[in-house]
Amino acid sequence: MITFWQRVDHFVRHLSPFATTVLLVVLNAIPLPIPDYRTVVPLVPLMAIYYWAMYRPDLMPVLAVFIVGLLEDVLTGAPLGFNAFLFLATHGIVRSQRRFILGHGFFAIWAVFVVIVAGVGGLSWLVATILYQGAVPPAPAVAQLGLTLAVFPCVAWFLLKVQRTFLMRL
Amino acid sequence: MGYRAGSLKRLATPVRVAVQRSALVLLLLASAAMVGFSRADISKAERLRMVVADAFVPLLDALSRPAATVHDAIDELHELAAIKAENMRLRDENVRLQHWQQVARELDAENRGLKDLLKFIAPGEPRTVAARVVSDSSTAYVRSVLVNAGSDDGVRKGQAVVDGNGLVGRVTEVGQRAARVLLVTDINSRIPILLEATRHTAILSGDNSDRPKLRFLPVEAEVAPGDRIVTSGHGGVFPAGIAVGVVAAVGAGEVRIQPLVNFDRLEFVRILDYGPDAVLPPASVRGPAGR
Repeated sequence: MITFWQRVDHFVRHLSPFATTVLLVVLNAIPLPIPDYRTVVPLVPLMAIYYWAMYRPDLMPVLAVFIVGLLEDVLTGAPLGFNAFLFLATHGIVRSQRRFILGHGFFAIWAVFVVIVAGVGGLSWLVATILYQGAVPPAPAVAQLGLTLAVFPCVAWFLLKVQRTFLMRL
Repeated sequence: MGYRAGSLKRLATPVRVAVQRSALVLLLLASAAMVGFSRADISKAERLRMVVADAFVPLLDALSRPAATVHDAIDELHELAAIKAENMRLRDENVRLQHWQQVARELDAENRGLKDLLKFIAPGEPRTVAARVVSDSSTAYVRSVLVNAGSDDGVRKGQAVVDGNGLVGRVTEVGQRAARVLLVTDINSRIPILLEATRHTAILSGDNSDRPKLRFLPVEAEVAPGDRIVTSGHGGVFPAGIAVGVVAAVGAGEVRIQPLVNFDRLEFVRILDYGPDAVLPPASVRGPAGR
């Protein structure tokens, strides 16, 4: 017999991928007094999208990905729908290839993330160039992508802890 | 019973996969459409954005406070280390400032006398709305911040935003409790300015770098590094006379400006409100001169 509290517990645990992703989106938007940090702030939300699409796609429905993307758009001032598109595309690609990637260990996961980040970076730069009708300096974007790749293992480690703590038996 | 539940599950799984797939495609299309739509109908997209921003501002506000506290504490330690040198510097500065205060008093008295002679009616002082920067939403492509004041506090679109040093930017989106401030360094920022000394006008044009550049500066204008620039008030968007920055570099056909505001450490800002239909007067509230 499943009690009410067991249901609540189950529900909250199922919510943890979405909740951690939202948390990272919000934390990523907080101003830090580090010189030039703002322009190269790593794409932490993208890491969460990538991670959960890789390990628990069943708990990260596309609607949740869409909502997280819109939230990121609002908080970062990007055109509405822009990050939603990038996140959904990342989610879709990873979801379809995850069985193949997961078989090759963490370095394969990191390597595929490099490809995803390069794609996301290139597309962002292209869209920004079209929207602003002129070339946007690519240097900060390149720095941002480099930092994103460097920080990925730390964020992945944090998400792994979350997954082990809340989703071990689910 | 068990058999039927099993067959239902067998049927449900492909259906669920199909739904997920088509949902992904649909939402992808929806996102792409939204990007196009947000360019076509800017006001509706803005309203939607600010509704979400309003909802998240209390959370951002709460979360950004510890970060600010930690950095204040670190600052304090740094200051403690340099307290003696700082004291010497401040003494020097105090002597200099006292001289300037004297000058200012004399000029003020003279100014008042002249205004009386001319029956000059001084423009009203702006009401200012103080706000905290709660989210630094700058990315590689956008330079803007969210502040925790909105239409409830009297903030409206287009108002100038300053901090203690000078011009920060202008309000581009307003929610009930939140507003987005486009920084002067953003690629979409264009501000009519004039060189304080020579009164030549130009447009300060951001390009997402730390140092925006001057455009449409008259050919005969002489500029040198260190020249101050202030808002000109042309175009009616900004009040005239707000300190913006100093000329940082004069290159081949390009003049770069170093803003007075340190955008890396933006914490509190003031939003200047001249009332609903004010003809923008010169800014009577200004930051201290220079850095």
